[in-house]
Amino acid sequence: MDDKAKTEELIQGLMQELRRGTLMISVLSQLMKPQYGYSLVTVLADRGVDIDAGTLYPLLRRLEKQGLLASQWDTDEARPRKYYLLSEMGKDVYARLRTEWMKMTNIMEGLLNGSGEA
Amino acid sequence: MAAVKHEKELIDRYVYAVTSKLPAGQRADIERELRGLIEDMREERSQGGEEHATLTEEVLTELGHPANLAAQYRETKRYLIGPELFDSYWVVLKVVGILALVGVTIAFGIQLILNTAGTEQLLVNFIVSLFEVGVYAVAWVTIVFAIMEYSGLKAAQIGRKKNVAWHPSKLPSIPDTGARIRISSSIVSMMFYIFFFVIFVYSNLFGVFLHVGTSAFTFIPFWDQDVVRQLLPFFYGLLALFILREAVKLFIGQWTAKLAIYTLAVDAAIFMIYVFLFADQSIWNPSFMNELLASGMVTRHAAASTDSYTTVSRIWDIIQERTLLVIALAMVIENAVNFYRAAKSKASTKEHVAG
Repeated sequence: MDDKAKTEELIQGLMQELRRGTLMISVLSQLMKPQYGYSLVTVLADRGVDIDAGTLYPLLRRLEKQGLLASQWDTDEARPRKYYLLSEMGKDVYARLRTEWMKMTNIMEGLLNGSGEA
Repeated sequence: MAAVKHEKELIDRYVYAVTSKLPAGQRADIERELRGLIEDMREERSQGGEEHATLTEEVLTELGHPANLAAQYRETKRYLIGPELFDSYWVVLKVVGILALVGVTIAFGIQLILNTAGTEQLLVNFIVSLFEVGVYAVAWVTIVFAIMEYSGLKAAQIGRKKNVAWHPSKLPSIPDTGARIRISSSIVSMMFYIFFFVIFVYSNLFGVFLHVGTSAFTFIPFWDQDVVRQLLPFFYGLLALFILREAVKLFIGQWTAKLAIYTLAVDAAIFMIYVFLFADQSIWNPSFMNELLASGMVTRHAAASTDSYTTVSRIWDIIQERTLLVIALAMVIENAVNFYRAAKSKASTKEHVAG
């Protein structure tokens, strides 16, 4: 029982690591047009990517600081919201990452489907 | 109405708990965004219908512990002593701590034998000293390592410099037995410094112990106790530099030109403190010769020109005058040896590679 719980914990940890690597590219993929944080949470959730607001919001700020995103406060609505959008540099970076990702998924597919074979 | 107030209070508290731990420059922006987020989440949960009592609590629980959220916002993990230095830190801290406590205990033993004060008083002093020295030991070692961390001394490790391409040829040679710095020898050095400090400086037991005839032990200090007390911060500085030197040696692990230069720099600072301590001779016990005379250890004959008093007095004067010179000579020799070791180690590395 204890062993089982340990294995489960290990699996959860490893899965989280895997997912963490995909978050950044997931976020970039959805920012061709401006989104504010919570709308992005919903958009991603609708497409099956579960991300905590507590993870996404700091991530958005980091990406902005790295110059991949631009942001603007919209104060016209009742609730002021900070909208994020891919910057020019962000678009380039996303295009490159996307290509790399496609390559990687191809390779991974080959690896995982042919598991055990030479 | 009371419920609304309660909700607002909860949100305020949560936002404060998160942002108060963040750099001031980002606080306002993050606060604004966070408030918006909480409102969005509340709105989505209530789905336009009636707000239920635990709505805000649910939302805040989902956002998680404010400290975790704040940690997500902070970009870099911050620490006083990083993982690269931590092992050395832990070794040095243990060694220094144990040695300091052993030193205090030895000083206590000596004082008991000398019976300088009542046993209860000595016991109280002993306990106070244990605590005081323990705190100082932890504080100084931590300060020394924090400075090493801060000044990026860890970059001194070969192959660790940023922006320099690494190549296997840069692997440090396995040190010769001569060039290798042994943990044990560093520990012995530290033991020496700490014992010297605790027994001679902190406990004022630097002097001569006399046992003339059947009388009890007499102790005559070399140094003026009041002056030493005043100079105590400098002695602490001295101790910190000694520990720094050993810590750097332990960290680099073998004699290299770089280590020899670091050691020289630390020694230069150490020597400056020595100059400060010994340049004017006020640190020496002014009544040393009189006390010696009173103990009956030396005697004075008005008629004779070579009585024991005159001889010892001359030696005492020479010690006072030449201390700094002797220290300087010893340091020059030690540093010369360090550079020699470094050069030798380099030469033997070249041989290995060439051969």
